[in-house]
Amino acid sequence: MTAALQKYSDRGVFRGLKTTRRPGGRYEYTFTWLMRRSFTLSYDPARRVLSFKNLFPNVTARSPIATALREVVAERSTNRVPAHKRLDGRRVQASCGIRGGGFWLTMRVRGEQGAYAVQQLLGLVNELFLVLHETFPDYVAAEFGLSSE
Amino acid sequence: MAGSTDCTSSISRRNFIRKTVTGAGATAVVAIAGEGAHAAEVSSITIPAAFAEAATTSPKRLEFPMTGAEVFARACKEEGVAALFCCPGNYNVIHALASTGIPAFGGRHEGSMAHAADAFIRITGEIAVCSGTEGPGFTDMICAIACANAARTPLLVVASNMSINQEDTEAGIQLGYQQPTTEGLKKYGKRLINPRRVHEYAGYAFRQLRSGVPKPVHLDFPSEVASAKFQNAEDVEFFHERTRYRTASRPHPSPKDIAAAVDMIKTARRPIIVSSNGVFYAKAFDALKRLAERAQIPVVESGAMKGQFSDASPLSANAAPGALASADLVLLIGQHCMPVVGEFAFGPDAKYIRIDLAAEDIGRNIPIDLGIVSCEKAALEALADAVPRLTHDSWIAEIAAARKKFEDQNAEYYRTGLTYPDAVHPAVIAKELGDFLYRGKLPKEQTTVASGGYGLARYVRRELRGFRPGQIMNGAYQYGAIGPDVAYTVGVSAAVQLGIGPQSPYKGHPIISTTGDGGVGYSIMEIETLAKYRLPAVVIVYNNNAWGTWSGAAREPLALPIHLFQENLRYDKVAEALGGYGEYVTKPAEFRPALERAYDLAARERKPVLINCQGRKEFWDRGKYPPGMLGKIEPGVMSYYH
Repeated sequence: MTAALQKYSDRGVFRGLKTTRRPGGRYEYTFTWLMRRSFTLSYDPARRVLSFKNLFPNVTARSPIATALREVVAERSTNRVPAHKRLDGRRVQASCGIRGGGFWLTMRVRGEQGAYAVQQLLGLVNELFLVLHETFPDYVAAEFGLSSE
Repeated sequence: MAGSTDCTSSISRRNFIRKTVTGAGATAVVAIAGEGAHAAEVSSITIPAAFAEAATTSPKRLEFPMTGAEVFARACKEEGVAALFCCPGNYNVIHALASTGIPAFGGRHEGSMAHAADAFIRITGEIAVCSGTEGPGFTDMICAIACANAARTPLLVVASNMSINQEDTEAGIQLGYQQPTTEGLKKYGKRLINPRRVHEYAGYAFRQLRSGVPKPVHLDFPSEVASAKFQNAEDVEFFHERTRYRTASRPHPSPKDIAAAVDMIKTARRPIIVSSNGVFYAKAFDALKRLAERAQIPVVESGAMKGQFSDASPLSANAAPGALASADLVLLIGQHCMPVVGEFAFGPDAKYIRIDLAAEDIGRNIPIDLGIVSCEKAALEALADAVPRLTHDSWIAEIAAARKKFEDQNAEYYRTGLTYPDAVHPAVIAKELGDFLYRGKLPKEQTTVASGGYGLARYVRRELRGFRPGQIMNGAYQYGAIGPDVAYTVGVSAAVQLGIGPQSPYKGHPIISTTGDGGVGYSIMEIETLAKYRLPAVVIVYNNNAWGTWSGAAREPLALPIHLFQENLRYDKVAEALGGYGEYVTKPAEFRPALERAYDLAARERKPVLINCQGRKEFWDRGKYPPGMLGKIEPGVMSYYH
């Protein structure tokens, strides 16, 4: 995972990538990315799960935002998206939900598919942001500092 | 238009009012003639005969002896300056400019006229001048200079500035230090202090305006310079024709860079071109089309103007925002105002080729995989020559599917908007406007649009399309000012009426502009400018009784009034009072007929028509009135930040 993420840092997509080992063997990656905000991605090697635990704060379970975000994640595993975007269920499995008032997103990695998982997860996060930008600009303004002009 | 000799209406105002008296038009009576018995006593609005006289007066070729202002004006004329927008003030300079035959437009506020000049340039690619008097006239232009700077517009700003003799004294009034005031808002600026160098500094100005990445140039004229008298060319220290002080040569790409770019294009599965300002100013439309079609590369636009690549092409990705994140190679062409990572929709795996005139900007914000320093046209031509014929069928099919999804979404917004019967929803305005412009009787490439407004724009942009260069003036681009929209209308309409640059085939047709009730308040007096110069335009005002920002203060009772206006204000009557026409639309079904009447009237009478669309501020509340306030995805039809 570290190598896969480092490639994005080397290309300048991320800024300030920092890797921290946590108790239990977990890895925590912090980096500046979309909206020039800090993201925290964790990886649990034992469970083989990549997680953005509070990707979108202050989202309630039955809100229109939560519904829209869930739809994008669910659609990603269907043939409604182009083949190159479609999640290969033999390689990864995406999940999302609301916990503690925030939206979380995980990618379970099957086999040696770490690079694929990172690529798909980041692409998915980018598209979730696009949904927010297009349909919920007030949320992006409130939570991510987008200009309300 | 200054060229018109017809200063009387072929249709009487009263007849027009009678024709539209049912519903919305009825209210116009009060604005024009008062009520009842007073109506006959009120003099009609007339355009002074001086306008017709100006139109038949021959320009003069300025020859020695000349004043400093005339030397400068002659340089502007020889440089092909296409228009002057100003208010009275800086008299020697603006009178000299007008005397050369450069079309001159006088308006009601220097800031508005500077905005008009900016808009004029954005859709013609030609240079225009704005002018204000010293002190207040100059500072009135600051917002417009900032807008032009952010939009990378080659705007020539001139202003008078008292005298060198009285420098620093505060003798009299209006002395100010202009150049520090425009610091950070211009490419180049100079207070002219040596009368004999006035022509030399005209050269400095045009070298900057016509090379590299454009931005405003600001010259301030003390009286000693403007009124200096020169008997012959020898009296002027530097007096050469333009081929001696600047070059039209532009940087070309290195063959090595082109080969590297071709290799990247050949291996990409989903390449896309972002066409922006630089393509427009380089007039690289044909080269762009040739490259896109030869290599089957979709094109999406961003920038201060749109239409470089026709939205009629299946390769246009402007209305396919859902596909942008799939691109694996992005060619940024003439994207002078660079987004940061995440502001454009492209995904984290996209590679970037950036082609730009300014080496010092390549690599800023978005990391590049290849940078090419070149004139956009030269680079596009080289790429089109070098790239093999390619196919990207599945990618183009993905874009077509995304376009359909986007258009289906727009149609759904429209249907939702129609369910609100007692006010006009912006989705209705957007869809009906799109139908009128592109799917009705008008040739779809005919009408130039000044796209403005705040909340309204978030709907209208989704429906606007460009089918030829300069068809859309992207008002809020980058600086985000929402007040200049009527002023932009002046500049856009002037450009179309004069038939400048890419507007030439559409000379004489009305233009359409969009704005909100927040925006219209800043520049509505320029309806009078449109009317007196016989500039036909339909100004669509979305009137929801509030600034678009009101919902952010909805739960703050002490702050909320800051965001609100009186309700049901009659901007249509203001337009009538200023020599234009007005329509007041309060129901969804009334909008399209009003638009058709307005367009016909603008075309026939060569006047502005303002359509006041009564909405409601609560339409921005997504919970009560879905879909509420919309956001945007860039680049493409919705873009305006970058």
